[in-house]
Order: sequence, then structure tokens, then C-alpha cells
Amino acid sequence: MPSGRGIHAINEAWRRRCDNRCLVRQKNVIQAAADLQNLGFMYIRPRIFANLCVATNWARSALVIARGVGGAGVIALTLMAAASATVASAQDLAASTEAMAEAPSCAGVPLAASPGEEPALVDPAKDLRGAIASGPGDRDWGEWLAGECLACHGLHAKAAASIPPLAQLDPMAFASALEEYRRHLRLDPGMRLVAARLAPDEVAALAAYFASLPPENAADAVPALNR
Amino acid sequence: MRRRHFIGAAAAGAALLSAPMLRAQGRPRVLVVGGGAGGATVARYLAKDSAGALDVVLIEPNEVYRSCFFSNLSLADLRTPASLEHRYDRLRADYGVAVLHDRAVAVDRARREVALGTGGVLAYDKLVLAPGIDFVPGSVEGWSETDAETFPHAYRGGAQVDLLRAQLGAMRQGGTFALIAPPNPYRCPPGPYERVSMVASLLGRINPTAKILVLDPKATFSKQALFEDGWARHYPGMVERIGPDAGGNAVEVRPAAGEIVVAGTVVKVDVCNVIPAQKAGAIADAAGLTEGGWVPVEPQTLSIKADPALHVLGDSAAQGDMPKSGFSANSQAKVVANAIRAELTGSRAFPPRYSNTCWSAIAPGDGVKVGASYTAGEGKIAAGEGFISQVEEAADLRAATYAESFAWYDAISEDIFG
Repeated sequence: MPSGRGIHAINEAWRRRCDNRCLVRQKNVIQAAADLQNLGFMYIRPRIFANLCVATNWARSALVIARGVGGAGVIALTLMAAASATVASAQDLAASTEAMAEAPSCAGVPLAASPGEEPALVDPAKDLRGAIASGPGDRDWGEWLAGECLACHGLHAKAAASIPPLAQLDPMAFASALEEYRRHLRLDPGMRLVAARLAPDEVAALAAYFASLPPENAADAVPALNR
Repeated sequence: MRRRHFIGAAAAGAALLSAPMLRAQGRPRVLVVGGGAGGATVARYLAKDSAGALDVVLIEPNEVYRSCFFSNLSLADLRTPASLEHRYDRLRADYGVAVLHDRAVAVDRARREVALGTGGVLAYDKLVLAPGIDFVPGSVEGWSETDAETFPHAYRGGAQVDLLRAQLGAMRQGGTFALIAPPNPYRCPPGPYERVSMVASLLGRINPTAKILVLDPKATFSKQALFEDGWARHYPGMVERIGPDAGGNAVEVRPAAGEIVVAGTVVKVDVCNVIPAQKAGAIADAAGLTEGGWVPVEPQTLSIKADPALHVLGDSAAQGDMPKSGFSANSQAKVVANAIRAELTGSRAFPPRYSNTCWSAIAPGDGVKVGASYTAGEGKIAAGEGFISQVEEAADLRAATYAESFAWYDAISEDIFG
């Protein structure tokens, strides 16, 4: 299931870029959207999702979302149940949605996409987390692919470094993070580019390589995206 | 290291043997000329990944490498010169690279030998040239490299950058700093304009009535909107740029008189930074590889079409769409290392994959970036998708981009030098 780690990382990225007032509100909507996506609903558009949540009600939101993925009423009911469980309260949701409306001016950073820009649709066949779950990736290939990553990322944590280190990355957290870049739920344009170019088996290969690297010290045994 | 050197020199005759015969006798040797972002990365990846199966020799004149990237930040005292220094100790100790502090002066492609400045000769199975840039003589009227102590170029890092910083520090109040920008193509497309930004930052602090004059042979330049917006916001009234339509393309300099001549008008300057037109490093010419100043290479592995034992990468290569940057050289180096290792040791060959990102500092805490992915296309490395910072970005995002550039510097330094 979704990855608490992935969501944590989204919030982490936002914390660096948005002021706290915005963050507190935004993260609730993002969390709900990410949780729904992690349930398998690949085509959720966070902005539409949030607007619907305010303008209508949970049930209608869920139905529209389900329609977006081509689902039927059964899926919608399932989704409703899941959604109810993932969002803390109606009050949170209202606050979140208000923040969504403000998002373009929130530290100048759009939430998921600029106004008028559709968030990236992701080919469901390119299921990064599925590729991780289906078995260990090709570590040697991953080592080759990692050359591109290591131009910016160190292997191990350095004080105050704003680009996360890669050794000992948890494979599923890694795949989730890339998925979120592909859907433009994360902001960095460079990583969006990297994530869009990687095929699922390449992500699995990278994950296998990063996970295989020894920690520099005991502290590095903690998956880096948790920081 | 030295022992390997002598063994290498003594075994020069072995170059007459074919590569398979060499392998039968000992490890194939890869010579890498140039210990910058491209060359040091090739050497490190070859040695690291081949785990002793290859004899990797890096020829680099300097014992200490001062990165050209980030050198502009040292002009604004945002980095110390010492923080831009890198040594080759880890390449030697951790990876077994034989580092020779010598200069490659000639290549005998038929014999597969490289002649060294100190008189030795080294045979190779594969030769990688990553010599960076040289300046085109006469490209700025009145300037030659002998004038660099008066009008520094400061475009290969190191002491020249320190000299420019010292001149700026000693400039009279209200004086004029002139920067003569190069024509395309040249190392680090945003570099001259980041330099303008960093000099403006310094002068704003220590010499706020000073003026900056940019003489530019190009009508447009990298990240232009971002820089011009930044100059207007951070350094209002300080920077004036004269493009080719107003004589920026035909500037004469008079270092002895402290003057430049623009469109027939003599302008007194207090400090003048001449960044001349550029070409591939001298060894590329010596090896007979250049066309129009640069070395055409194959996009798949940056090899030379007429001589597959040779690869040229980084600033010297005419590879297509990638900008000449340390990032590009590092990216290309990994492709070259993988291809060479596969050919010489039978290891897996992976499809090439290229990328580049260039960060630029506009002011302390105000950073921008541009980047793209690249593929080996028809006859050239071709640009794919890309991105660029936006003019209206918020200060928080600019601060994050600026901080990110420092993290990048640390990471790529480790990737290059270990």
C-alpha cells in the first residue's frame, strides 16, 4: 500500500518550496489524491479532485474519479470507502481545497500543474511500482543507468544537501517517488524529465542497484526518502 | 604509479601488436588525456567497473584541478578558490588509475602511441581525448594569451579567475568592468552571463557606482530572459550590453592602454575580461582530428569514425546538440567508459544515454537552471525534452534552485574524482 514514504517525500519537497501556511493545507489534498492513486487509480487529477470535493460531495467526487479511469459503479463504491478512510475530516478537505485554489500563488509554486495545464497522464502499462513488486531488477543494468543519477545525487547523505542521496533507497519508495514525478505531483522539472524517460524495468534495475549499495554508516541504513 | 609509468613507456613497442594479442599478454591499456570533468570521469568509471581488468592511465599536467564550473561564484566570494580544488589521490588509491602529471603532445595513430611532454611514449589500445578548450588566436583584435595577465580570460578556472577577482577588488570606485563575450560555440553557454551576475553582485557590495559593459558578438544568449530580468532586479542600472548590431561583434582591445574600441569609439576600462572564441584543446589538432576547430564524433560512443581506437568527448567534441559543459562531459564520459570496457573486456554494452543540466547563479540565493535529455540520433547527439527556469518564479523556488546547485557541485565532484 501506499506508501507513506512516498507521501512523506512529497510533503518534504513541498516543505522546501512552500511556506508553512500553504503546506498544511495542501498536503491533505495531495495525500488523499496520492492514496487514491496508490489504490490503483492512475488517472486522478488532483486539482479536479479537490475542486469536486468542495463543489459537490464525496460520493460525486468518487464517481467522477472512477469515470476518469473507466471504472463502473462498483469501483466508485470501493473508491468511496477507501477515500473516506484516507482523508481525516471534511474540515481538512475544505481547507485543503481552499489551498488548492490558492496554489498557483502559493510561493509561486503550482500544486501539480499550472492553471490550464493538465497534469501528466501516465500510461498504466508503465507501472513502476508493479515492476518493483514483480521481482528483483537487473542490478548491473541499474548500475549503468545510475550514472545519470549520480551526476546530481550523491550516494550518501551530506549535511544540508538539498538533493537526496541514493544508497540504500527503499525500492518501493523510490518507484513511488518517480511515479509522482511522472504524474507531476512532484515539482522538480529535472526529475520529471528523468522519470518520464525511465521504463518500468529500468526503474526496477535502478532500485535493485541502489538497494544493494552499502550504507556509509549506520544512519544511512534508514531509507533516504524518509528524511 | 611511477612504476606503471615506466613499464608503460618500456612497453611502447607492444603497440604494434593488435589488441587481442595485447590482452593475451596483459591488461589492455586505455590512455585518457585530460583530467577534467570528462577525462577524470572516464578514468574513474573504467577503473571502477573493470575491477583491474584494464590498465587505465590518466595524463593530466596539473596536480590540482580547479573546476571551471562554479568559478564565477568565487568572483562574488560565494565559494572560496580552495573549495573548487580537486586532486587525483582517490583515482589512484581507490580505483587504481595511473595518473601521470605530464602533457600529451602528439598522437601517432598508426602506432597507437602518445608522446609526452617529458619525452616518454605510451602505447594504447584505446585513447580517450578530453582536452577541453583552447582559444582561437586573433579572435579578439589586440588580444593574445600573452595579454591574459592584463586582460584575463579567466575561462579555464584557476589562477586566471583569482587574477580577475583581484583586479575587481582593486578597481577604482565608479570604474568600468568590460566583459567581451565569445561567439558560439563555446564552453558553458550561460557562463559569461553568470559571470556578469557574479561580478555585479561583488561590485554592488564593494563598488556600487561601478559599471559593467558587456560586448557580445551574439544577438541572443543562453537563459537571456532570466539573466536580463535578474540584472534589472538585483543590479538596476549597472549592466549595459552591446550586441552585434551596435558593434559588440568587432571589439578591439588595447591592454597596455586599458582601453577598448567599440564601433570606432574608444572606451576607457578599468578591468577587462576577454573571453575569446574557442576551439578544441591543442592535442586534438595535433592528432589531426579537428574540423572547423572541433572534433566530429559518432553519437553512439563518441568515437572517431576513421579511427575506432579513439574517442573524443567533452568540450572538444562536435557531438551535436549537447552544450559544452562539465555536466555534459561527465555524461558523455560514462557512455565512453561503458563502450570501451565492453569492447576490451567483453562486459555488457548498454545503450547510450545522455543528459545535461546547467545551474546559474544570478545573485546570492537566486539560482536558475536549464536542462535536457539527449539521445544518440542520426549523425549527432540529439536534444530531447528539456526544461528551463521561468522569469516569474518565486524567491523560495529560486533559493531552492540555488541551494540545489551547491548539492549538485558536491555530487558531481564525487562522481568525477571519487
